[in-house]
Amino acid sequence: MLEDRPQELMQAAIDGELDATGQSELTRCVDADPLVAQQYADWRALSARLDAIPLEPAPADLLIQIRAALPPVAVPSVAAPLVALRLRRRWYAAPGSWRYAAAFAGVVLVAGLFFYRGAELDAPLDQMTGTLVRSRSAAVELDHARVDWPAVQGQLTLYQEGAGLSVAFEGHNSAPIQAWVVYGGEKTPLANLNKTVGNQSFKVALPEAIRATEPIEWVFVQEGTPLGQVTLSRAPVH
Amino acid sequence: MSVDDTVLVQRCCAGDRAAFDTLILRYQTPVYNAALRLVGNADDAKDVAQTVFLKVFLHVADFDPQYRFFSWLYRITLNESHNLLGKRRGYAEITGEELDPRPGPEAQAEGGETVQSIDLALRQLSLEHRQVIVLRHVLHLSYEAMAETLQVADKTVKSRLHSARQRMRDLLSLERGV
Repeated sequence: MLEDRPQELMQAAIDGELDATGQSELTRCVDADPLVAQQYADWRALSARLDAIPLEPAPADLLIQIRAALPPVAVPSVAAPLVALRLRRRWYAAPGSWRYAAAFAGVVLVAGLFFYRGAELDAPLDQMTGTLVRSRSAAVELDHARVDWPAVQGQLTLYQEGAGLSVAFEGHNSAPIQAWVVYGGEKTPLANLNKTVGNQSFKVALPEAIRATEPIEWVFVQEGTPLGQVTLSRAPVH
Repeated sequence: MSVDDTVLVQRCCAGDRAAFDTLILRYQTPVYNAALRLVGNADDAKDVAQTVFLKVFLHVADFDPQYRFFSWLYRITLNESHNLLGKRRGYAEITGEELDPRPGPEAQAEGGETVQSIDLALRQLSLEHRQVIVLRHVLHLSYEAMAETLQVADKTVKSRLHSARQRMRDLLSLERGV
């Protein structure tokens, strides 16, 4: 078990799994206790460091070697219609009554997610990430880039707002997508894309640390599979 | 528009090799990288990835469609990596060799001091902790997907991930001499 509530909130926050209520609670904890604030900064830095582990390309001959290792006869086709129609004993599954408990837990989880998501979608937009920007009146567009993968399409736009920077996303996602920028040991997520699916329109303020002139790279991942990167630069749009 | 995994699995069951190729191309990079961080060197990771896809091919008819394909695939990856580490450990016990905790040459070739030190710290974690770090920070799975892959409760994932990060923090601090 996690030792205390702030720890639980901090861990969920760095994983992009904290809802708006939890985010508000965490903000209060961080504002009230410098020790918690320091711990939160440390966890975020560690998480960003771990997230920066590079993905190596798979060996070029892996596909060929797998093909060569496959038996010449195809998988028994008689099983195909059965797969979709009934639950089968799985290779790694052990028999036992836990399946009924798991099925019940699944129903409870799905119901919980339904109500949770419903509540989240009803929340005002500015409460969804805890860092959304309310006003666009003083925003100056610096750069934009098109995102176009099967599970997410739209436009990512970088704005200058006073001394700060923000990024807006307008588009649609059909599955939970993780997207973030890592800069100076800080990881800033586009939390909405991981929490909800459908049409999206939101803006996120970037940390103050992001002030340099080099390009800002956003990483997009869908359930462990990298989709790609989008780079925004601070050169003004003409 | 990419074809859904479940459709590809059904086509595999019907003997469609092209569908299986698509699954390999879609998942070879995450499977290889998970194995690489779990077993610690490129040759073993390639062997693991090859075995994983071979087993998927042979057992695809046993895939339970109530789960997501990738969680089944990643569970096989974890198990195969575990098996390989067990064999390596058994070999070391028989021959009296000690396992080398230093990063392999490929990790050094990656250059970044960060990657080397993280690899070194990963090798000092228990397998359980290493698995959650890999699922979360290499494959970027959600808590729900991690729980499905590991076949444990969500709260177990959170607790295990927190413990693993504490250990990583301590190991990386020690390595820095903090």
